[in-house]
Amino acid sequence: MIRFARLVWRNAWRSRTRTLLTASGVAVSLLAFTVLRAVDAGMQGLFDRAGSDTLVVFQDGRY
Amino acid sequence: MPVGVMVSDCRASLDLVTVHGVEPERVRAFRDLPVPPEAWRAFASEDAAALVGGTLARRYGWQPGDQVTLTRLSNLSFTVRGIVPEGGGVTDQIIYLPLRFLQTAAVGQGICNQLWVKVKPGRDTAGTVPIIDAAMRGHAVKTHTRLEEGFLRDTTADVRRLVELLQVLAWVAVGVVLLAVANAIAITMRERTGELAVMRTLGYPRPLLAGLITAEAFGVGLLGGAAGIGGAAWLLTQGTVGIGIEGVVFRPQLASAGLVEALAVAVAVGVAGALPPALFAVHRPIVEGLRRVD
Repeated sequence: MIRFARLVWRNAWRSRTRTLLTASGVAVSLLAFTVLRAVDAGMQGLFDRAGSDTLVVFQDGRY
Repeated sequence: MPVGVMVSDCRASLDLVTVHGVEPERVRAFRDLPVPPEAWRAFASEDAAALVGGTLARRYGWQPGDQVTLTRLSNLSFTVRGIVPEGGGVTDQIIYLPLRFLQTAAVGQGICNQLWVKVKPGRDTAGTVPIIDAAMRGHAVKTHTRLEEGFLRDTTADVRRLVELLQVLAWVAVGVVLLAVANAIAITMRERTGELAVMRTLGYPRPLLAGLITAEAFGVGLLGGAAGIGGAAWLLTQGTVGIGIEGVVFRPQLASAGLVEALAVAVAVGVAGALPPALFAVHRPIVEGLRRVD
């Protein structure tokens, strides 16, 4: 297993520029993905924390 | 409880400042405001004493004792008496002021924009709605009573559509990088055609070779994913952005489920991007590959 792990590492490191560029592409994409998913999670959290026994009386027709 | 709401911007905004005028003696039935007792005493007894949500205080660098004037909100002046710790809830970005003070200083005597109603335990919450609206029928403004969640959903409907679009873009970003990984692995396989043919001649089975290539992409996905997720986590903890509309404010939140999802996506991108070119490469005829060996 370790022998194969070494082989995998050596193969990746052989074309290190390509490996690092590909990893950077994944990093940028995952950064955007994580932030955008966090926006959705933040909004869902707002609804989840709303009081189940709380009513809001507001002007009709506004929303 | 009557509530006076004032906002710095009536449209959807990323820098929304929202003031809630509340009755200090009743607000704790509706909102968890864990501030020190001295801050609470000041809020209950002083006119212009404010409790400020932690995220908003961090955004503007406010500390207890600071005198603040909101130039975008009728030059409303108050003293920060307590900072409500950040907990990811609705209180993070709200300035709470005594309702009487807010009415005198800005919205007008006796005026409020909302009523918050706490239904007693065991009572029918939904059944209370028509009773309230019927009771309010004789007033100047017709009312619409909703559960708090329904009110939040209705108020943020426009922003929600935008957030849904952002989710599509998030998955598009994943799709693009999946293709980029597949392309990088395909180029690598082309370069290693001869090498793979030699390994197969030496007896390395196809599944092992495909596994080695996929493991390489798995590592790249894991490395890139960890860097991207780490960067996002750093950005989100630094950020004090308040996305909101009409006094309903929220901010992006990275929960552990979000981290796990993002890491799983990163690994899946590596594996899914590598598998097709890897399988194609290991199924090429050996002779064709050996022709490329010098």
